[in-house]
Amino acid sequence: MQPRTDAEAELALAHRAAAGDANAFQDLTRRWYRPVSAFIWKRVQRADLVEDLTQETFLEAFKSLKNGPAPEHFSSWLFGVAANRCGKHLRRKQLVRFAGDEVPEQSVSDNTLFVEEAEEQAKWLDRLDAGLAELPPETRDLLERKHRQGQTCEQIAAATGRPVGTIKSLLARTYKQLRERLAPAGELP
Amino acid sequence: MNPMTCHEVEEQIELFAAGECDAPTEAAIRGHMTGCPRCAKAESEARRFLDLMDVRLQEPDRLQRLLDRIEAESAPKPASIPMTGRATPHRRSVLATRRQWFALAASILLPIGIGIWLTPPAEQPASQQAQSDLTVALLPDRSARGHEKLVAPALANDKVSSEMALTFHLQAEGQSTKKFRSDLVDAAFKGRPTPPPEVDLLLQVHNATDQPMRLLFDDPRAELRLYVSGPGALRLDGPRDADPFGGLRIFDLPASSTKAFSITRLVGGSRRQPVYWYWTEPGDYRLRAVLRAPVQSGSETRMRSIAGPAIPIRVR
Repeated sequence: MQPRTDAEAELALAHRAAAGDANAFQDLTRRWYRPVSAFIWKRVQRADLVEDLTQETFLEAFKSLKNGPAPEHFSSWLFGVAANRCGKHLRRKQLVRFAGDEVPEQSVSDNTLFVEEAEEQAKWLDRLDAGLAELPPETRDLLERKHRQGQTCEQIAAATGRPVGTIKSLLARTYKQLRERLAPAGELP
Repeated sequence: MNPMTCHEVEEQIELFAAGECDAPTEAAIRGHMTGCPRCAKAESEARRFLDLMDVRLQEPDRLQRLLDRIEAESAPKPASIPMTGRATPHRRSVLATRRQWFALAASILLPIGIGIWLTPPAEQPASQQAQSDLTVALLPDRSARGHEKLVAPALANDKVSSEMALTFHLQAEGQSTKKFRSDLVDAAFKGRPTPPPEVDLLLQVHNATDQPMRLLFDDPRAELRLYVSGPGALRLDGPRDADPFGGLRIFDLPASSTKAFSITRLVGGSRRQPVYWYWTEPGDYRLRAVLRAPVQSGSETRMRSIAGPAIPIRVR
């Protein structure tokens, strides 16, 4: 019999993952990668840490699933893992910056709020998607080079044969355009 | 350059936050922001927006790396290979293969009686599996001063090959480890953390392709991530002038070649945010290096993240 709801499908995948099925856990990862990374981004406030913490969250979740019973609510449980990962990271930073001030542990009962919060965070990325989809291909390529490949404007200019001033102007205009697209949703978290 | 107005700053604020303004414009914007909280806030918001762009546009690569890692984690682990005894032809072949994967090696000597013992890593890093055209590994720097001290009594362990040795100094002389740790944190609060332990390490990078590659360490995103885990592992934010790449800006790797650069202190992170690592207690540790940088190959440049094997370390 096929699962009837998303929650049931998710639970079925979690049970398969708990039995060691990596494909099932990869499906869960694809579903929850964006909300989890958005959730972590809000907490640590640094894009360069998001990948590591998100990866640690999913790998720890996979390991825990294989070592114990599948949780009743996978997503709530997953965000509990993510919150603990962030807590550990922030406490480590506290040691330097705010010694003596403990970062409080989030209680497990708050996990459902985490899910709502994460979905809200992920909407920023969805809104950005909508803005990116409206861009012409060459502008999208410029952003891919800048943010995905990490090229500087000089490197992009050399690779595309366009003047560096043109690249900078186009980049500045595109940033403004995308920010205007996001503006109605208020300030970034 | 003349002082800028708020409107002029706003026009350039994203490029400024992205580090793409020329030096005079950057100086003018910085000057303006010192007396203008509104523009300083706008700059902070622009940085958040650029962060969001990074998160979004790197998402497909990051997700794929994670999916590869999950697959690797669920794959059966290779049998461990003992490091003692004479290598048989089969073992030499297996070891050579492992060296290709891991290019493993290292042990550490502390001159104040703290010995360090290393064994080969138990797991193979997933990122190497996924991106085996480019690999990294930490190695002892045999040319470094004091390297002849490697075979110390603490390392005379039959599980340790003498080729797996390197040297460094710890700064806990005459102090309890608790006080050492507390001194380190105090120094960090004062804005000038004590320099981390000196090491004689090489980070070896191997290009397995038939195309030359260029690693762009001058890019602001370039990072050398060092991870130390263990009972007394301590991570502190380093000062801005600590350069994880030791001044190296471009790293050219000819086709099918291996090159290395020296790591002389446990300094990781990026040039924007250097990170100091210490070990402050006796015990078992693991040291791992992950190199992240834009890599040019042919006409393509893309961010790469290359993980080396974790090295088990025992500090006595």
